[in-house]
Amino acid sequence: MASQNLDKITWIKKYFSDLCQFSFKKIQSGEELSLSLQGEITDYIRWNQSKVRQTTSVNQFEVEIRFQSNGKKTRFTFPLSAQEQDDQNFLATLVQRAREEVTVLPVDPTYSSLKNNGESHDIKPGKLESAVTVIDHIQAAANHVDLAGLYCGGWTVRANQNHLGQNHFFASENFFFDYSLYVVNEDKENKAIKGLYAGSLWTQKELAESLNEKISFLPYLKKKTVNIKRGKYRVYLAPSAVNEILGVLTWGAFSLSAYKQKRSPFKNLIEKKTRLHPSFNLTEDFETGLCPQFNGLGEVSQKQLTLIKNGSIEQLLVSSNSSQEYKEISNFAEEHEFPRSPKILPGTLNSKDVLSKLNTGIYIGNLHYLNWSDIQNARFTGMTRYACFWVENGKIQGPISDLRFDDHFDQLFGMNLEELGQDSVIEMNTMTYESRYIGGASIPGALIKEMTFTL
Amino acid sequence: MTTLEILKIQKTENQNLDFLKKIFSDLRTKCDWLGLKLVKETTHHRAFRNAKPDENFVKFDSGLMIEILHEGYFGYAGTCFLDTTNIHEAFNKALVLAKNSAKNSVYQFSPQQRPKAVGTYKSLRYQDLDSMTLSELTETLKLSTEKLKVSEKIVNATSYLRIVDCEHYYINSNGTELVQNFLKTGTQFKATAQDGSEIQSRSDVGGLHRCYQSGLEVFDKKEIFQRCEIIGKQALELLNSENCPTDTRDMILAPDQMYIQIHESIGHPLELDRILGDERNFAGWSFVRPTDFGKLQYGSKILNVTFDPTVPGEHASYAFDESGTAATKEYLIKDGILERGLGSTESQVRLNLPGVANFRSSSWNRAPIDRMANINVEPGNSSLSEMVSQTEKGIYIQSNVSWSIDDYRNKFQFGSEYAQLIENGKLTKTVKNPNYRGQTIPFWNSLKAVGNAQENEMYGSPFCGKGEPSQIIRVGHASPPCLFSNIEIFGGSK
Repeated sequence: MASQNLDKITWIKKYFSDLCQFSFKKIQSGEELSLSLQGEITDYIRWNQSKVRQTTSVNQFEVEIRFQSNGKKTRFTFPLSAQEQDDQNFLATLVQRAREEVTVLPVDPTYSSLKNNGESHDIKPGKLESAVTVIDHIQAAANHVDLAGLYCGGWTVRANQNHLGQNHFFASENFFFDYSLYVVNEDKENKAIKGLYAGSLWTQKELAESLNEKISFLPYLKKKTVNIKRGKYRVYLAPSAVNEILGVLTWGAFSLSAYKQKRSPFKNLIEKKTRLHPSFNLTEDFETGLCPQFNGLGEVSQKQLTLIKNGSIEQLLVSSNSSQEYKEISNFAEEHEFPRSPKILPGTLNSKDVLSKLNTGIYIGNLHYLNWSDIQNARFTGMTRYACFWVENGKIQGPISDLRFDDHFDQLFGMNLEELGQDSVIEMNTMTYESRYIGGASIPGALIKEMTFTL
Repeated sequence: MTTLEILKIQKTENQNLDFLKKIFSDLRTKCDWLGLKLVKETTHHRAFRNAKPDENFVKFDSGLMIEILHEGYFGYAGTCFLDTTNIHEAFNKALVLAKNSAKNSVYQFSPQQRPKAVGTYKSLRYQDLDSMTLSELTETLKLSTEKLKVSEKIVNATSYLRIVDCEHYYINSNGTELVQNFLKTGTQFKATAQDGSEIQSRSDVGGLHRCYQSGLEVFDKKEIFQRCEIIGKQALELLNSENCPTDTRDMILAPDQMYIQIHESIGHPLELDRILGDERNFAGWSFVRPTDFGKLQYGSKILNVTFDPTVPGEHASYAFDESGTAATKEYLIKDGILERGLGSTESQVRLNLPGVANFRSSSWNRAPIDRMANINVEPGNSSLSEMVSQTEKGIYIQSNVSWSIDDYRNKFQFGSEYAQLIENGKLTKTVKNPNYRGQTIPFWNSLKAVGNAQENEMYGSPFCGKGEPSQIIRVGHASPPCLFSNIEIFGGSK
């Protein structure tokens, strides 16, 4: 077991750097150029019924060019072909095209001059097994259960250079195995539980431990379904359910530009018309190392940024674009101002006390398909999914039938928040739309006095 | 003069095909069965906000996907690196994974799941990218935000144009040779109005849904400016409107709301790979069982739904899917009965059920899976005015803004931008924050009337998500307005 493809990462680092140096020679006086790199070398293995459904190995690296001149800017991205002459020729063509485009574009209110934000070089090799071995390990561990899931392992890369000498490179080798286990319960209904095994060191033993922990819940899922009527219930949201909620907040809740453009679900929080529970604290925290501290422009954030402190907004995420447009100080957020490595600070609820403190109510393992139902008032809706149980007097009675909730974030995590979990879970970002995402979140569970279910 | 035509990465169509054939001849003998897909795509994102530039971005994409069939298992490896060394490396990776997956795979496929196909497709277009200068385009986008701003109370006005120029090549060991070229456009215009603490937004058909296979002819200045003025005025109207009531009443959905209703509660649950459980860990399963086909009363008898990738100009039209199956129109639901699922050759053989030509991927870097293409409600006989006049107490809902449904596709909740109450057969006051909820089968069985062909409208989306690894794919949905009975509606919080 060793790092795979480290030589390719070393090669891509030099290839990108050479391309940058080539392009910087193409710009003229008054022009500014920034090149960023995003890429992956990944093995994706899809599972259904504990068997392999589809394997896809992907090598993809894309360069983004940001060209600025006379208060105007334009962007292009193109894939690296690994044919240096072709890539250089196309890059030179794009620089010329960018020069032509900015002559016909109006001045951009978000324009700010590029700066040299220094250098960093961070290559984090992992210890992953080959995809072939991973297939054998999963097959062996799951041959007695009904499992569906996705293994994703390999390298993700982010880099940036600009014409002023800025130079950042980040590459990380890690994996996740995002899976779910299925049983048919006493009412002949399908019930499931979700698991995630992730890290930079794959071992067959840890895989088995992860699976066995979830398998131990299956007897509860096999019990008769408890059908719950719509209404208000006391609930415990497991860390994965809280992470789903955090996911919907990344659509503008922490963004200065979203607030200024009147599309922030945190409007009332920002304007101090409401507040969250004093025990609710949220930071952007790069300590986990799951993503680089620099953004797509190579600007370096602080290691920790407090976004919500004691239930109140401490600061919003501000990109350099927003900084320029709204005259606020940038904290070097990404352009779309979403948290890259959010951390909800843990509370006081001990894991072993979850059921007893819930007493009677719903244990919610996961949530599904969240969306705002009244964004200006932070009201959102979504479904229960996977391991969700009706609990009475601290004892699991059985899995519930799926329920729809529709409630306000600032009430659930405000006056209705009773306690946050003592033990946070670090959940690696498992999204893979178009390419593998980076980052992750550190999340505790949450005991909620009352949550509204509508269907 | 700078037009929207940009020098692309690729060479000519023939050069691209020759490149693919050369790789094919190099690799063909090294495995039992080989397929190669080459995708080259250019996407423009051009946007203005409050008469200032907001986005000026062009994305070029290009890459190769290698598909190997080994002992009944299809394995894939994709690479953007198009040199010989990297292509051979990707081939070897696909082969090793295929060999080691074959013994543990869910099903043993054969070359029959890739029927031989030879053909070309070029999407409908009247004005190509060289017909408009960047300067003209930016001026139109800028002016459209000014048209949206019908009052000082319009605090945010945005305009956006997206153009996708995609070339898709596929050859395989069965003798298949497909070249398909798509030019797709999408526009979005939105006004946000504020009066004190009240904020309301209204957009052109509820977001990026004017998505078509077309040329720049859809970017008609005069028509866009007219639409923008209406949008701006309706945003203002919403500021002074009452909240949508909370009760149960008859509901007419406009085509730009039917769009999401079809997509989430008919399209996704009928995907055969969901029914097979492939999506259980991510997008979800389905309440539909294989035994439901031919039997299940999915909707009332006036519900007819088709899968149709042959509609000229609709967003997800094509001549062949990525298995090589020729695209044909098929009824999914006929006279309310569930007839057919959305399943490719692979799902069809796994379930022993008929399907459709829907084996699609989002690009070169993803393997094809069962996807929607164009899913349309076939027009009926009613007009919108007839539906309104036959409704004593109801609501007419337009333009989707929020959507959520469970992982089996039963319990949904959708929100819209704009609605009007229907009282005693007449449209009366406008209400804000309209939402409704229901369950799929009872909902479609409550269908009372389907609009006629004259009121049929076609929309699309570039953002249908599914799959592991995940894919965002383009879909199209056409529908006339439809009337449903006894639906739970409700409004915003205040």
